[in-house]
Amino acid sequence: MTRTVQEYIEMCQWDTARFFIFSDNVFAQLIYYSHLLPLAAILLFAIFVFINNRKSLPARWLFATSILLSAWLLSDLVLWAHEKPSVILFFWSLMILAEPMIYAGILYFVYALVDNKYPSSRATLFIFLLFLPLIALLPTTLTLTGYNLSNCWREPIEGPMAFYPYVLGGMFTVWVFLFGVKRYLDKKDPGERQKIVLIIGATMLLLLSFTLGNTVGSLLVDWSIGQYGLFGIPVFIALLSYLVVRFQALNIKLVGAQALMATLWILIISVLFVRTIESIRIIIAITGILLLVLGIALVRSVKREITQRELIQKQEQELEVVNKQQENLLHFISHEIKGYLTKSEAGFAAIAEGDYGAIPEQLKTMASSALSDVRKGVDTVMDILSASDLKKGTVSFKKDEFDFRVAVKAIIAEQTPTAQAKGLQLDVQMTDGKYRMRGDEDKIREHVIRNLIDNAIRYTPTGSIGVELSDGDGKIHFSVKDNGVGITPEDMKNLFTEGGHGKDSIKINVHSTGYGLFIAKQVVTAHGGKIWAESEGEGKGARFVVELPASA
Amino acid sequence: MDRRSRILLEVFLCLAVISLSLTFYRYIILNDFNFYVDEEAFQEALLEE
Repeated sequence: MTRTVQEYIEMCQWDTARFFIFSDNVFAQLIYYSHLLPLAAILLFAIFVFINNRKSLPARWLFATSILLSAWLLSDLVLWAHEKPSVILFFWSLMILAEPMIYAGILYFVYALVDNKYPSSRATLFIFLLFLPLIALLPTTLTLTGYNLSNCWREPIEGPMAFYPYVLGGMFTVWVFLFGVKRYLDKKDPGERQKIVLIIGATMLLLLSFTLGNTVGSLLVDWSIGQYGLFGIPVFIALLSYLVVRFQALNIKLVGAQALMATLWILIISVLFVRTIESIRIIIAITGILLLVLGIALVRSVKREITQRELIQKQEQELEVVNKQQENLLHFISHEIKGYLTKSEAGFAAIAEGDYGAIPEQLKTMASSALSDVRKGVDTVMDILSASDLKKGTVSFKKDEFDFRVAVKAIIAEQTPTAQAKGLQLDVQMTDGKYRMRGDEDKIREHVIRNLIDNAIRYTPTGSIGVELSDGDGKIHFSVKDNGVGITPEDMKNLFTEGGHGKDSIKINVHSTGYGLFIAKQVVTAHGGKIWAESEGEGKGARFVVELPASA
Repeated sequence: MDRRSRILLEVFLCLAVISLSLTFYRYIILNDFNFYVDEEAFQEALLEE
């Protein structure tokens, strides 16, 4: 009498699988626990690490390998649960292909973590060629010859190609081990050696956990013992994730805490689905071990963090004291230098103006040149002193009402000869409006208007400078535009900071202190206004804009 | 990763997907597989059940 497969299935009274993985065919609930927990934990770890470190090569390979591991675990669960031979045969084939791919993925991961690069293209070609027979013969009877329905087992009959993945797995394991040994011997630094031992150790344990399920199950014909090996997979994946974040400078506390919480959540929720007290004991024992391992790692990490934070705080306080001392010293030196320079300025001015009687023309020229240099020196020292005072908050601002337009006109009149001497055209556009404001006219003139126009002249080799003044919304809008050297995005970040030079500004203006715009910003801000710069980049000019509140 | 390795990996992935698709087609769509039953062992198993 010949029966169909369907008839045999019915006679064996196999349960019909729901969602591929839920059925009474699964002999113990431990199977769900040994598959679904590692699956969820692996995916969570890998996703955490990948999202936090997308550009990291090891994180990418860990993610790819974790996907394969998850596919393998899911397929294995389908084999336990499903009743249809066709489905079992397909998922069995999938596992045969996925298994050596997991080993290869781990090999690439180890290369990425230790060397931060891939194996050579020759090695990749070798691996590719190793996989070719398996890929080519996977759908044939050389891999799975058929399906055995005797004894009401649900088991495919494996052909010779089904044993090939074990060969590949063994080869890749030896490869990983030898690679680790070689790199260990190559490195002389104890830290580097420790890193390699940790990586290779964790990888070997992961591979062992992975193969335990198959090898112990096959050898002892007891598949329940082999299931415990699967529990090791998330632990070692977690360990490898830890190594990725440790050696790739990622925030381990965050990943560790997230992973711990996620794992505990899965463990606790899974108890709800367990019926027998025996299984609950197993789950609680595993939960305890995971909690212990991850908890210790997390507590140590937090402890280290607290120590580091305390150290940083202490260093910060020390730095603040040193900084203050340096500032006071700078202030003192600048004051002293200013005094000497002012005396020299007066002396040279007196000589140049003939206060000591008629002097030879050559001496007069020299005195004028020295006077000009001394004045530049005084300006520089004044800039440093002003910045220091502004930072300390020891500067007081007058609150007199003045006409901003008059101040701009005066500075333009003063700066026009300098611009003309350099061959620059100074275009001024001023609309009629309300330009009276309350504040410190001297500081606005000196540190804002003059500074911006002077900068534009200095940093524009040829071309023109446009000064615009308008009012509106109760504000005075003042801008200085040039077609000079422009500002790069990197320089833009430091533009208004203390001593914030542009990268190449010193080449154009050797006397630049880097304090001008910092002071301008402090002065504008103190008057309730705003200052900013616009530039399309290097060589494309710049525009500085100031907005100040006009008097009501 | 150099260009050669990248191409190799891409080709590998394509071939793996094709191979799996053929396996899926053979087993799931066509239901094409041999099955073996030792009738004696099968009957014994049924009696044990």
